[in-house]
Parts: sequence; structure tokens; C-alpha cells
Amino acid sequence: MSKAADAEWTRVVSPEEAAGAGGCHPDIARSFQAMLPRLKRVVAGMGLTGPGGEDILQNVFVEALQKPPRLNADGQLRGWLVRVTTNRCLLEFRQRKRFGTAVERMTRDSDQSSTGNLSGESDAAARTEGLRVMRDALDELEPALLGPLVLRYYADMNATRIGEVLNLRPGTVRSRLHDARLFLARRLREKGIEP
Amino acid sequence: MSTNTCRPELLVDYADGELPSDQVNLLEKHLATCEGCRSTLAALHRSLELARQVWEQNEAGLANFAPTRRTAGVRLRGARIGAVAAAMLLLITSSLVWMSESLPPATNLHPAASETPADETVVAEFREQMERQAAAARLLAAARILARQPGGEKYAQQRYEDILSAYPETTAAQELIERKNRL
Repeated sequence: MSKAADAEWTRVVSPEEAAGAGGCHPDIARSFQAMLPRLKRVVAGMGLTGPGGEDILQNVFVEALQKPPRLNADGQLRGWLVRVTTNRCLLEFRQRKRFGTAVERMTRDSDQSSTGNLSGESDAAARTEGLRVMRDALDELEPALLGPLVLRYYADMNATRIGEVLNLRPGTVRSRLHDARLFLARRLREKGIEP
Repeated sequence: MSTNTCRPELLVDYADGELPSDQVNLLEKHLATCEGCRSTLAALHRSLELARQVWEQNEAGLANFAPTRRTAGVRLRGARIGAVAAAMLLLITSSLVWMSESLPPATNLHPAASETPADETVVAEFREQMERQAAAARLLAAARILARQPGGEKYAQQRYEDILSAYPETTAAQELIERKNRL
């Protein structure tokens, strides 16, 4: 974990910043604001964006305000926020997986093709295809693998911290990270996406 | 570690720069001779790069989020209540317009005495017609779905006859009659 990422856990938020996040329970609001960039990464990494992702973040914040966890240190509260966010995202991810995401994929694909800003058309097509394959591969990934993958490679947490959040041993976290990375690499090769 | 054995999990650690230094040399010797592992290593780098791009795109969709004290569910309920209220308003408005155009002239002569019972009658008739039109349309839709199933034409035909006998004044029945005449 980088120093900058580690500092996020202990960053002090101004009272004004905290007041902007609900106006009460300043400690919780402060922790939430400090962790918001990382929480957004957790949500985005689990494939949630736009109103769906915002609802997850909003509900985590309200849950923290209404049922504040009994924790001793601010660092524990921040860990709690990551854990609750991750669990809510994984629940949502499982539900989406169950009901299928074909329509969403079609929408995303059309969004991507209309917002591409690459110079060559073939480059753009190859890149869009690569992203499409990756989105599909991430959707296919088992939730047990997706959680550690996102926390490690996008929320910038180490295996020990991930283990604390997901209630797993660091060795299990590392093993799942290997499986997740190899799964994505295999999918890419199977679909003929050139490295 | 033998230089002849493929160990994909070591490739992940190597790609992440987390492989212990005593194993790096061995793995690099293996990579020099193993095309499959070189390809996997390249795919490991590329897949992470693509995954990060996907995640960044998703994150851009959350850029404007700022927490408030209301749950997302409350926002949704509010929207639903708004939609129901709008639908009710539309129904009441259309009913009033319809009634104002169809009330018998006598009510205009004695509005105070006859307005309420006439309104009730008109509303009841309006409601009944709506329900009959809706029921016939539903039956017709169901019959058409049945007709597309293997062996379903016979059952569909029965439903068509039901519509013609039970709801002869409806749009659905008229549609069936026109179709019959065309054939």
C-alpha cells in the first residue's frame, strides 16, 4: 500500500468538510468524507456507477449515522466503512449476476463507442473491444475473487488490510488474488485480445 | 523452483514486483524458454491495465456524489409517490374534461339539484367502459400470444369468440370483426 493511500486512513477532515456530509455525528461524517475517494473506488471496482453506485454510498453513510458501530479508534471506523461498502456492493453484484446484465452491457457498449476519443478507427475499435471483454470478464468473476481484486488493485489495500475487511486470512487473500488475475488474463487470451 | 515447471501464481507475484528476489532469477530463466508463460505474463499486465480503465470509467460516474442524510430508498419512495400523484391528477383531469363534455343539457338548467347524482352516474359508466375495454384488450393480447404457440390456434379461437360475445362494443371486438371481414 502506498504512503498516500495509507495517509487516507488517518487524514484529518476539517469541521466544515464534515458538516457538509450530514451536519451531525461529526466523527462519522469526518471519517466518511476522508474515506470517500476510496469508497468510490470500491463501488466503481465492483461495477457500480451512476445512480446505482451513488445509492450504495448514500446508504452506507446513512447506516453509519443511524447505527454507528461501537469502535474504539477512528481507523476501525474507516475499516468498518470499507467493509460495509464492500459487502453491499458484493450483494448488489450477486443480484445483478443472477438477473443478468445483458441490457446494461449493451447500453455501456453504445456509451463507449460514442465517447471514444482515439485517433485511428481501428485502434479505437480494438481498444473498445478490449474494454468490452474486460467488462464481461469482471462481470463473470466470482464475487469471492472480485472483492479482493478491487480492494488490492483499485482501492490500493494490502493483503493484511483486505483480510481484516473481508474477514479472511492474508494467505487466502493472496490465493484469491492469484486466481482472479489469472482468470482475467486467461479470458483476454481466449478472446484474442493482444497484450 | 525448477526452471522447467510452469508456476502461474508466481507470474502474478512477478508481474506485481512482489516475487522474492531468490526466485526472480529462476523465473526469468524459465520465461526465456517458455512461450506460454511469456504470453500469460503479457496478458496479466494487459488485463490489469484494462481493468483499471474499466474501473476509472465507472468511477467517473460517481464524481458528483455528495452524501446527504436521506437514504436512497426514501428518494425512490418520493419518486414513486410523485408518479402516483401525477397519474391520479391526470385521471381526475381527464375524467372532468370527459364529464364536462358529456353531461346532459338538463344538468345545466338545474346544476345545484342534479350535478352530484349525474356526476356519479357518469363516473360509474366511464369506469365500467374502461374496465370492459381493458379486459377485452387483455384477452385479445393473451389470445394472440396463445395463437403463436404450437397447437395454440384452437384455444386462441375460443378466446376470440369470448371477446365477441362478452365485449361486443369494445375496440378489441371491432378489430376482430374487421379481421374476419378481411378474410
